[in-house]
Amino acid sequence: MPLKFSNKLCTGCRLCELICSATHFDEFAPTRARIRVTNNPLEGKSAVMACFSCPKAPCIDACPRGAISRPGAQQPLTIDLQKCDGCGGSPLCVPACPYGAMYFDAVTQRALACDLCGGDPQCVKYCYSQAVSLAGVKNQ
Amino acid sequence: MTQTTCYAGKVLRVDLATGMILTEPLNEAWARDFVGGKGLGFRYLFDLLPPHTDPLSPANAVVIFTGALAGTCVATTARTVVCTRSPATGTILDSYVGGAFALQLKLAGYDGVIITGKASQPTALLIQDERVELRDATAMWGRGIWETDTWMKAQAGDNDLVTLTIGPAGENLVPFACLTSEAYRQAGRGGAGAVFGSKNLKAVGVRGTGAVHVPDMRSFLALYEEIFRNNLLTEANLWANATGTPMIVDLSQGAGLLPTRGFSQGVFENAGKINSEAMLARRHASRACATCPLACGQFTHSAAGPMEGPEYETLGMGGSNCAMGDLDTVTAFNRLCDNLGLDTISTGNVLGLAMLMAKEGIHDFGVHFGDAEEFLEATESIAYRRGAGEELSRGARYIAQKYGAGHLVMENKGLEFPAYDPRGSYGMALAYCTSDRGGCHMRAWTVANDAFAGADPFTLEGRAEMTVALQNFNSVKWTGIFCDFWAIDAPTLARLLAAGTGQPYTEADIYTIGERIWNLARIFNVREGFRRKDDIPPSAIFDRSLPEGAAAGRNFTRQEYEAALSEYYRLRGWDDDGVPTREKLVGLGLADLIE
Repeated sequence: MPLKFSNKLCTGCRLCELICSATHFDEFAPTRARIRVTNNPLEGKSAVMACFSCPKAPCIDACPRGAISRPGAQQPLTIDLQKCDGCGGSPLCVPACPYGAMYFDAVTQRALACDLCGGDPQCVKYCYSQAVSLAGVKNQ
Repeated sequence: MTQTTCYAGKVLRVDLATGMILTEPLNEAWARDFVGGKGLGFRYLFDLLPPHTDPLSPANAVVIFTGALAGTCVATTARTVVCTRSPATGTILDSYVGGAFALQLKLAGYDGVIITGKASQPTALLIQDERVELRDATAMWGRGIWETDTWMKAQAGDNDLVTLTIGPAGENLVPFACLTSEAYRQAGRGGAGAVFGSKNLKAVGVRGTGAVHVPDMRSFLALYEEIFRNNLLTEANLWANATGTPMIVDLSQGAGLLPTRGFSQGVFENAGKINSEAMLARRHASRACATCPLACGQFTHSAAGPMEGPEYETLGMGGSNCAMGDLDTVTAFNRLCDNLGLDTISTGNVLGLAMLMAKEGIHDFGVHFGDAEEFLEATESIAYRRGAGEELSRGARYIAQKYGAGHLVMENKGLEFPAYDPRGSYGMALAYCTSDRGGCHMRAWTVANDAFAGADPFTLEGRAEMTVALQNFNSVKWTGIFCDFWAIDAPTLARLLAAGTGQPYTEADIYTIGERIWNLARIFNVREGFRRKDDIPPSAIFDRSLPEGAAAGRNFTRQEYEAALSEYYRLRGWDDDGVPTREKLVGLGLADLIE
């Protein structure tokens, strides 16, 4: 099941970013998160986005190294870190994503996409407002 | 730091007079003894300020600190403290703001920022990781908070920049000018905004792209997951998510301690128009500070415009206390204060007093109970210090002294009382008057233990002990910096601080650290001349009764208060004039500060 987002429910707390980076990189580093929040405090609005394995997945074709693949529809992407070379700092997969859900890790110089934490997405667990949820599943 | 911990390990120093910018290692011994936030902020400030530093002189310092756990996933810990000597009270000041400033500062690689001196022209401090610069902010001088915040983001070329900004009130040195972050969140009390203004410092903006670490991430996350489920997302805290602070309006009204018409009444006939129900009808979204699932911010849409708020204190001080029984007016007042950079508590208290003085025929400042137009105009005139606003901007104590309204005023040490009338919960008098920054409810919110909990609020019995315990615990809670709205217990606090800092803090350590910080603040205040004489409530608390409601006719005597205060000093290990004994300070490891 892919992730589902509700900007209306997003409170802008960024806990998903912190939990994501801690889970994958053992550090709290929002710029290394595979899920990102955009805040507009003045207007009281936020948006949250991560890769939800969209049907067309243009990132796959955009990658000149053939590093991005997925086992099937609605399955999370796999980024082959051996093949991915970060396109020398400006990866082509990032602008190719129409949802702004592909990111670049400046530390490893590799592309970053949600891997659903292997099936138990941690961001969902910590999102009390349910702005991030698993499609078809109610948060615990 | 020899071990990987939650500290960035660096403090940024900026001198506005010389333009000097440098980083220094975090003082590790201080970090161990004072942890972070309030503790470290006070320790650095104490070290920096010579006795009797004029709060609005270049010699005063602004110490901005993160809590030890800022930047981690622990809820509410992205709060920021601003420490300085208060221009409103002359006491030490710690003023807190939620949001994400501390998260960004920690990610930029700093535990704190120390700002000294005075810039020769309006200036903004821009921190983007290791790139730190002073920018000419002349274009923003005179401008409101919201425009300035937007300008700062453009200067940085980064929408994720988070700022601390002053408005015209801070520029004009109003002693209750605040700092604002993320449009609607304030380091509200005590006038840190005026200290910024005195330094020609319009704003500080920060954006970090680094990381925060803990000694063992796997065990840290395991610990936090359990606490998140079983300690945070519980009934004790989820009220904040469901309604936020506006629900206190009904509680205060029921207890007869909702400040109404300049504290001359304790119930407001229009409370139902400014209570939680009224707020929920306008709620558009819930907003959160960084890391916090409680999301207590109520983003409302109304005729007065969109905003996050108003919060309880504004509903009380700008609503009932000025007899404004209309949420549009209170929201308009809140938006004005937010954009001009005024603390809504002090502003509402001062205006309520001014209206009461007019009603009693003492002096007419051109503001009268229930007149919304005058009320909003006066708010603006305070920020610009024009007309009657010039005198009003000097605070409740000033206008009371000048015009002979000492029998009506509600303040301690020059800080106006917030929205809990102590005649409806006697312990609050002790809490306000022994507070390290003057009349403030955040150090010991004893009302929650009596008037709001079905216990007898009309007694001072046991309140000294309760006040001491709450002050100590909150002092250490604000090293985290945890929010008041998470009713966290000492063992859990100790576990989280230990897991983040790598220091083996125990529950017993927690209480000692809290007491150490409280005594540090007291030494500062004693050095500035504060004694027992300053820890006494205004005379109205003893002499004037509330006419109706649950607290009607209730007063305690000055003798009863003095007895409770003596008990408080005894429990604190201070002498009968409120001066910490040498023995107490030695026991707390503060001996080096009194040599």
